[in-house]
Amino acid sequence: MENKKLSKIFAVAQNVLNECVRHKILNILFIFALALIGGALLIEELSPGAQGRTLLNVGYANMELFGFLTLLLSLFIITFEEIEMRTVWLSLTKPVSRSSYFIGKFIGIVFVTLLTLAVMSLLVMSLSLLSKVGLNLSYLAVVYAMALGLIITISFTLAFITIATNLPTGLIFASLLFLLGHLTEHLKVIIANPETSVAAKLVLTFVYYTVPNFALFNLKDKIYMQESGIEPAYLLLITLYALVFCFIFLYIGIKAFEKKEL
Amino acid sequence: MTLKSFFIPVFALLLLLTSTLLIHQNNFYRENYKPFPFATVKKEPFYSFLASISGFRVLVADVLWMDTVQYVGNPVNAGENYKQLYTKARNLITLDPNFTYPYIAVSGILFFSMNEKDKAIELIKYGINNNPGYWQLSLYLAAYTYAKADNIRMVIHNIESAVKQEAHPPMLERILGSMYLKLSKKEPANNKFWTGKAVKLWLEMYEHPSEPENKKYAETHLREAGLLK
Repeated sequence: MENKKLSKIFAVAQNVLNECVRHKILNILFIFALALIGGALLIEELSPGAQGRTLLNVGYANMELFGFLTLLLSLFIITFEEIEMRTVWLSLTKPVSRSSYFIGKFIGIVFVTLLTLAVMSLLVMSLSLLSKVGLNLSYLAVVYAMALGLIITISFTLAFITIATNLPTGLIFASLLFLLGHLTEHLKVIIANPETSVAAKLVLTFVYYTVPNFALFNLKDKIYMQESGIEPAYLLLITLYALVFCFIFLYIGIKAFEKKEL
Repeated sequence: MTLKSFFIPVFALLLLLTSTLLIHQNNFYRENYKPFPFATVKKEPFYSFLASISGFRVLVADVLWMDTVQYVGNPVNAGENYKQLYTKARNLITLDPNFTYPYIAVSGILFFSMNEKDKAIELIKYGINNNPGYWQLSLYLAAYTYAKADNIRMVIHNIESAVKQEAHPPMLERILGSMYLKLSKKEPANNKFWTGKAVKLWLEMYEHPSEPENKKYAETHLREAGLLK
């Protein structure tokens, strides 16, 4: 029974992956990302004494931005097709349960995003090798943490799209949460400020613990801070943090999808 | 509401709280997640500030470094003795105190070209405080301290050690050449020795220049010495 459910989930995921790879918009985005990372070679010429550093930093920024755009576009395409072309009815009458369909869709988008991220990171690695920029295990840790952040983003975007009455609203809310999540860490400064009122402190503390803190996954800003590398224990903890958030958002998304009128 | 539908979200929230608290206890988090320097960091342009607080702090520091390099490279700014250079350098190192190259390059210009000795020493000390493991900065501090006390022999000793490092600013080689000449005049008895060292350096700079300006510099001096036609 469980095996059947798993095979249904992976069938939906594979379908999502195929749809995304086939889609022309994704291909254009992919080429655009490659071209932009290539442009990093030109930018490094403008940064004497810090060429290697600039090359990597531009690469990291591109990977994160294009990873985010990829997941946003993939979700848009898949959700638009399932609503407008009614493909969701076809899948749900197979029969595939709503929860299996939702999880399959999540796994499919995760595959697409990780695929894009993997190719981009390989490209940055190749550019670094060509430019004789030394890379170490910290590079993989940065990409891994970035992938965790993007997976959380997929989970809450899916939940928002399901809850929202229309697709653009869901995507806008998801983008806002993505931005807010990058600012969450700075709430600590406001909470610690003695001039902040107790009520405001309580609200901000609640926000701090309930909104995903993307600064925790931002290791690209931390790798220059220490020479000993990134602690494996820290990577394990942020993995746990990402898993818990994914679980919460998927749970909310599934509950909303089960009640949604299609 | 079933017990299961109540238990699952509560368990998830507890797990979330636990993982957040565990992260806060982690050494890596405590050492690297320091409050953003809101009080000192430049807020204009706003997009640059927003990018910094949104996770692109190091990239923004790189962009500011490119801006500083363009500023130094513009001859118009030389006319006003690069008066914005120190401010620009402070802005970028406030954003990324672990960006080591600007400390070396900017303090060198401040000390030897602009005669802003105290500012150069202050900048390099700030760099040492933030990067205690990057020993090259101490070498530069020693060179500046000796130069301030007019102990040119020790300045040369420190700059020679700095020039042996692969990532040294090319300008440092020109400074070393000028120091050799200065010492050859200061110590007439050892004139031949220091001039010989200067010639050796110019030949090296001419044959293997680290930047075009170094080749020009070496060429001029070699012509003056009658070693080039």
